[in-house]
Parts: sequence; structure tokens; C-alpha cells
Amino acid sequence: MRDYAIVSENLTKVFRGKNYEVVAVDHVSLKIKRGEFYGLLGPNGAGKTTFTKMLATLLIPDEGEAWIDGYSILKDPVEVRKRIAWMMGETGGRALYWRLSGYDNLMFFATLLNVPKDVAEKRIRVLLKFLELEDAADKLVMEYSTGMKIKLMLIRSLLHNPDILILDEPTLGLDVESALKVRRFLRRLADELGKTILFTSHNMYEVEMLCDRIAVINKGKIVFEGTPREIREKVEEIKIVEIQLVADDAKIEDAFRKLERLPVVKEIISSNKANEFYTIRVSVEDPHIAIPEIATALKDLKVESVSRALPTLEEAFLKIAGVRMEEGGREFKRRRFSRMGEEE
Amino acid sequence: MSVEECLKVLKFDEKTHGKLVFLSRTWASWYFQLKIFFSYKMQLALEVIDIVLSTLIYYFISFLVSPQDLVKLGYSPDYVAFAVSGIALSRYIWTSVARLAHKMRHEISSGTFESLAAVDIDNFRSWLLGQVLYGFTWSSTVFFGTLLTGFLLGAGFTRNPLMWLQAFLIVILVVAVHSAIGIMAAGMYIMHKQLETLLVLMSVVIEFFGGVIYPLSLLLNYPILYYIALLIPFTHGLELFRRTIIDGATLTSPMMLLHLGVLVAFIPLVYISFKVFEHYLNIAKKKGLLSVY
Repeated sequence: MRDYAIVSENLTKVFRGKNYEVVAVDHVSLKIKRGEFYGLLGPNGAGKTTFTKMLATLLIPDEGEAWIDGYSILKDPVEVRKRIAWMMGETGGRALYWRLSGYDNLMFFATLLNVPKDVAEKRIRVLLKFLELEDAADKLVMEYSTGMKIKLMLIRSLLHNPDILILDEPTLGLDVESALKVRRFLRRLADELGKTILFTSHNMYEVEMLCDRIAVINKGKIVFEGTPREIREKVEEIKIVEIQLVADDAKIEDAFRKLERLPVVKEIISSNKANEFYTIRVSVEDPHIAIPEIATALKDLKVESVSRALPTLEEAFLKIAGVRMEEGGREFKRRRFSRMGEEE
Repeated sequence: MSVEECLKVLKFDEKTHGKLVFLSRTWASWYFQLKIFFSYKMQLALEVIDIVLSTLIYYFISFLVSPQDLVKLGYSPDYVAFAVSGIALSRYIWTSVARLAHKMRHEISSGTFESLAAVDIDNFRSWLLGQVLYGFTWSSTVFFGTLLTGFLLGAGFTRNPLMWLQAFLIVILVVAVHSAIGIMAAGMYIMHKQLETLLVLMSVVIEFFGGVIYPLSLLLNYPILYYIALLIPFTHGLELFRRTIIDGATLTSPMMLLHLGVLVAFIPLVYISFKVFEHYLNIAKKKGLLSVY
């Protein structure tokens, strides 16, 4: 137990109503080492937030137990809360007092956390400056953008310098540049100050960049635990073919129809557009058979290349989490004309 | 500002210790809530208008009340003083109690309560105490505003400073007892979101059974109602307060001592209220009711 900052054993949470019963977290057992950067991945409604709320003692489990820094979440909740910071990302912006200034919000929580005034002031000043909120410190939070509120939440979670950070989608709602800055900072908190970080996300990119280990949760159950690399290896059976072509909107519709009719194509996974240059990814049974057939089917279009590609972590995640690829396909169809680099 | 500087300020770990930290957290809960309240300027203005108008209502009603009847019922003949002292204390107590429940509703619906629960290190005691003090801070303005308006309308209050000191001590006792009701109501609110209707009903109950605008001795003709009235701590608090600031009665008289004794007997409610709050908090944590967004 001493080597671990967070241990959960069969942690279970069931929400019951008059006509329903939802098992939000189903016998989850995890062990997170001290100083480890641990990612908890899952689609919306997978149980990530419920799990973190139980660790933060905001929800009492129906079954199982967890220990934070050796303290039981059931028997010593106050000791647990002293040692952790729990932060919610985008929706957590509501967890601030909108009619107080950013600075006052931070001072209020610092006082509740027994941080001496001079220490709190110094930390607030440095962290506000680092996250470029210095000029907005005296503005009411109601005037803050979503990104600014998230940054403020992050500062708030660091004020008492906790050893364990439980961050629930902390970069959701941040702009690309700020998200990158926050990710690098968090990584250094783990590397240089030995902070243990439990980080939930459904963004594969940041998990790959940040985490030492990852657990994938779906429908309340852990369906995989390992390194980002192990996830990739586990799904190598996913055979992806990537098609690059130049087309206008009418022609690309034609290309989709042809691909959908091809028996060798299991499903269209994603599509990105940059000007008139499209990249379409499809899953197939056997790339050696599929590649020439796809090339033949699309011969009337300006196809630049048809080649085998490695699955992305997103695709791996969908596979591991047990989400059917077609669901990704439907989502993709709604957004398939998005420009390259835009959020998919 | 570089990452290095951020890491530097997070390298040392200093926390305040000792008993003062509880007071410091209570202060933070009180002070920042007051700051939030002063950001609602319109509400401030409306509450001041409310004080003046409600006092005026009883000023005009006083023209219909016979001073002789009041004397017969065992009170001084000044109905304005009688009614103003009643509404001042009942509003003082009730706005404070209701304010805590309203605050709880606001915290839960806005999502801040969950944040507070995540940093709670004393079972919400310092936060609750701060909120109770905040409620009474603002209500004190209502209280003194009502008394002052009554005074300007000719209410005959005592001018003996010692009596006002006694009244002050009585008010503190009434506040302590009723803060328990506020804390219990706040706890229940976490679970029962329709509590506000109940609170409105309770304020009417207090006004009716406490004898706020009519002498309690009128209820002697209705024994059941009279005995119910005696079970309510506010009834005793108001009798003590009214007899002090209108009649100048000291705490040495047997009747005053009896009222005082009953009020003191309710003091353990404060401890019970914290336990009730914890009980509801735990149920809410089991059912996932700390936030509703």
C-alpha cells in the first residue's frame, strides 16, 4: 500500500431512481503509484467522473473501498481531502463564485484549505501570471471565458500544494495553446515535484503525451489497463487503409458511396479535409486485397494514394472501450467536411 | 512567467495550524459571502424599502387597536412598540434562518457546493458558522432598521442602556437557538429540494404562535394553540425581548427567568443541528445530490 498514492478495490456506484438503476462504476480496482501520471479514458457516461468523485469523497460508494495516500475514503474522508485536489474541467467552471473576482475566489479557497495568507498570495500571483490571468484577477468571474474559468480552477487546485491531483478533463474547453501549456506544466509537476496525477480524458492525444499508464473505462468497467503503447499493440488487429484524394464536395460524396458499397470495406472511420485535399480512413479485413479494390473503385477520382496506415489511439480507444466503430462512423458522417486540424 | 517559478512556489509546503484556523475559515465564509451579497445592489435597496413599508403597516394598524385592551392582556398600551419589537425580532430570526437554506439552494444549483465539499476539512462547521454569521449580519441591519423606523414613528422603547444591553444578550441567545434551525434546514435542503415552501410555512407558524403582532395571552381562550405556542423557542425569546425593551423588565422576575430557562434548554439543538447536517450530507453523498447541474 505504501508505494501507492491511490488504491481502489471493487469500487462500485449505483444510482437508483423510481424507475431506473444505473451502475455508473462497476467493481473498479486500480493501483496508482506515487508520482505516476495516470490516465483514465472513456467515452461520455463511462463512469470517469463518478469514479473520481468517489475518490474525492464527494460520493459514497455502494460497494468497495479506496485509499488515498493510505487513508480510507470511507473512514478518513477529511484526511483524504487534505491530501488531494479535485478539479472538474469545463463544467467545473460553475464551481466558482461568479460574483467574486478571480483573486477573491482563490483567496477564499486558500483560506478554507488553511494556506497561510502570504503563501497563498505568492502562489496566486505566480500562477495567475503563468496562466496569463494576471490582468483579469480583479474582474468578476462572471466576466471570464470558459477557458479562463478552467485556468482559475486549475490554480485553485494547486493552492494548498496537494500531493495528489485528481483532474477530471482539465483541458476540456481550453484553447489549443493553453491546453498544451497546461499539459506540459502538469507533466513537470509529476516529474519534478513527484505529484501523483489521475487525469481523466477522452482525448487520446493528450493521454499519449502525458500518461505513464492508462486505464480505459466503459460502462463503469475497466476494460483495459496498460501503457499507451500497449493499447496500440492490443489493437494492431485493426486494419486501416488510408486514402488521399483531391475532390470537390460532389465528388467526395460519390467516393463515399463507392466505398460504402465495397464489400472489402468494413466501415468508413474518419475523414479530414484540407482545401480540396481529403484523407479518408477505412477499416478492412485484409489490406492486401482491399487496397487494389479501393484504388479500382475510385479510379475516376484524383486519388493521390491508397495505403495501409497504423490505427490512431482514438481508433484503438474505440475498439478497446467496446464502442462500435459504426458509432464513430455516424459521428464522422456528420462532420466529415471539417477542415484538417479542426476538432474531430 | 516560467514553469520553473511555478514549480518553485509549489516546492515548499506550509499550512496554518492551531485553533485560529477554524476562526479564519469561518471568517472567510462570512467575509466573502458578504462581498457576494453587496454585489447585488438592487436587492439591498428592495430590502430597505421592505423594512420601512412593513413597519408603516403596523403603525396604521395601531390606530385600530385599543390601548386599554392591550393593558388588559398584560402589555403596555403602546401597540406600535409592541408590533415593531415583534416583527423586528421575527424578521431578524427568520430571514437569517431562511437565508441559510436559500444559500444552500444556490450553492447546490450553481455547483459551488460540490467544490466546497471537496475542500471541507471540518464537516462544514466553519463554513456553516460563517454563513450563519453572515445571515445574522445582514438581518441585524433589518432588525435595527425596523426598530429605528418604529422609534421614528413614536414607538415607546426603553431608554435605559442597561435594558438594551440585556436585550442584546437575549437576542444573542435567540440567535444561537435559531441558528440551529437554520443549519438543520440547510441540511434538509440538500435532500428535499421543496424545503422552501416548508420554510415559508414555518415563518407563518412562528409569526402566529410567537405572538408577533398580537398578545400571546389572547390564545389563552384556545388552550391547545396556547400550549403549542409555549413549545416554540421563539415565543419565549420574543417575550423576553419585548418585556425588556418596552417594559424594562429585568431577568430577575420569575416569569422572565422561566422564559430564559426554556430558551437555554434549546441550546443543545446547535450541536444536534451539526449532526443533522452531517447526516443529510452523507445521504446526499450516497445518492449523488451534491450538485444538480
